[in-house]
Amino acid sequence: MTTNGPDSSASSNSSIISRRDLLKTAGLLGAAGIFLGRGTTAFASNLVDLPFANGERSLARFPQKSDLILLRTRPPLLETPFDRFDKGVFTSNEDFYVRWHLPAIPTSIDVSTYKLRIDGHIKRPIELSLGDVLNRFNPVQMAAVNQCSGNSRGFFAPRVPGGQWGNGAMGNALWRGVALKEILNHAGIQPGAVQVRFGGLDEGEMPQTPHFLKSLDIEHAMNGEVMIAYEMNGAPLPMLNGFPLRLVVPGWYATYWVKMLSHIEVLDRPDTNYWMKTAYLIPDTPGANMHPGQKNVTMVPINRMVPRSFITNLRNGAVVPLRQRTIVRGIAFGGDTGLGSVMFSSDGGQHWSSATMGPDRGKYGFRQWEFAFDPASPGEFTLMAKAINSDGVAQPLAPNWNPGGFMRNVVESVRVRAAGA
Amino acid sequence: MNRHTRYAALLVAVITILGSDAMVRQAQAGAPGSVGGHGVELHSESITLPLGDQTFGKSAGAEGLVSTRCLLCHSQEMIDTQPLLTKDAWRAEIKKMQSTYGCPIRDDEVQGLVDFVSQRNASEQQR
Repeated sequence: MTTNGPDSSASSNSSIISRRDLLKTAGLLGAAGIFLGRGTTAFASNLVDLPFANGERSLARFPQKSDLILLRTRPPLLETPFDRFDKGVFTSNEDFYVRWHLPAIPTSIDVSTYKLRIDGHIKRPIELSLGDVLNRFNPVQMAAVNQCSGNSRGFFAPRVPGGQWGNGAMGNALWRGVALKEILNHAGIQPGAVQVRFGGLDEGEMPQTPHFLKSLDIEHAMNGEVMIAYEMNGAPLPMLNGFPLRLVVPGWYATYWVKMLSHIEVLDRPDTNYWMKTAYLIPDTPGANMHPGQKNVTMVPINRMVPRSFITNLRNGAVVPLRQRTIVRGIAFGGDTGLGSVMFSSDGGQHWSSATMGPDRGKYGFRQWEFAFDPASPGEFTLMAKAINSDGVAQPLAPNWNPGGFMRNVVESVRVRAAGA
Repeated sequence: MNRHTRYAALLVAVITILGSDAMVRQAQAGAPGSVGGHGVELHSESITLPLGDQTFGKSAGAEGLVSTRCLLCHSQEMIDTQPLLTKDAWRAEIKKMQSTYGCPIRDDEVQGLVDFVSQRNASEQQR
């Protein structure tokens, strides 16, 4: 496992491109003046306008959280305002987005009585206390992006029902906990195990509401990377992010990262519960892409993430100084594997150049990048960043579509204007 | 040693044993309401969540029906933040809530719900 200290977080103030270069061109001062653009901006009035129809939101402060974009009060859906991603590669616990499916969420956790039950196709059912989890297994840690399957759903065209997120239903944290493999080995898996199913403490209001249960294949569960986290970014998880235990599935969408994890069940047959068989299905096509109304598409459970990149310090409508270097900065991640490179374009994707990469804080985490943009002529520029992961998979230039609004990873663009200095 | 002092000595021994056991347990658990290990300490937590109890209205008509059915499980932003959806799409959502999630919607209530949320959804787009 990758081991990174939380103190290794890249400071947004430290430039990847040499400081001398910056000062030589006065780019630092130039960059300081370009943060005020239009788009997903938090206004003083506490309103946020996500850039799609019916995208007006307010900010709300929930327990243990900062002001986040309120998508739904109950059960909470809270989005990270996008400017927070410019602060560094790690998303702070208070800024981290929140997503719950079911309304009966425990508001009180007693750590001295909390139990993690492991049963099913194992030698003997066991119950672990939090003390057991902390003391009986070796701690491991890993940086990993947690991204909602439906992150960016609001940008789908045609639009689809569901949580209408902008791009902020994601975050990167340094997770600390124990390897799931160790706990499963401790429980003793029986021959014939096929999948491992995870459940948390959240429940529906109606008895009929399906419990939120998600499963991973046994080989995946035992790969040594999947972990049970009791800390994120060096502190206990906020309640709304799954305190005291949360499954971490590096490289996979957050639907599998079960919060308030209380039950692990080893299955000797594939899981057919609602949340695996009916919900969270994607077309089994490259990029989970299909046409609206397309028939006879094989649907499969959502799984591995795909690469993405974002510009974090400039917004649509920003004005940058003509014939001066402006540092364009962003974040990127590789999805189910490491990030290979980030390419930058200032002409809407006709020409691409390599961006300068920031320090690598872990294969599955965000990585910062920078590009010194020096507009030679006045007018509009369409800036783009394209992530290519270490398997050579690049973000597509055309957006995908599927009825669930899942796995958007099109190359994003930011339109800016260069004006004379 | 008379009977009384023997009894007292036994009592002290019991208290000591119980006490030391409690102290050991305490040491393992850290302070009450906390557990620790490997340099990590977790404390019991309690939060209060907003109720999200704003309703569409409580009349005997469709708005009251939406309030008493749809808002059982989620607050009204779930409806109000949706993009413009067709009546068929709303009907599919409402049927899903009824059949899969167990929302107590009678079959003869479905059309009223579809009509109300469709109209509401259309008006929300113009805000």
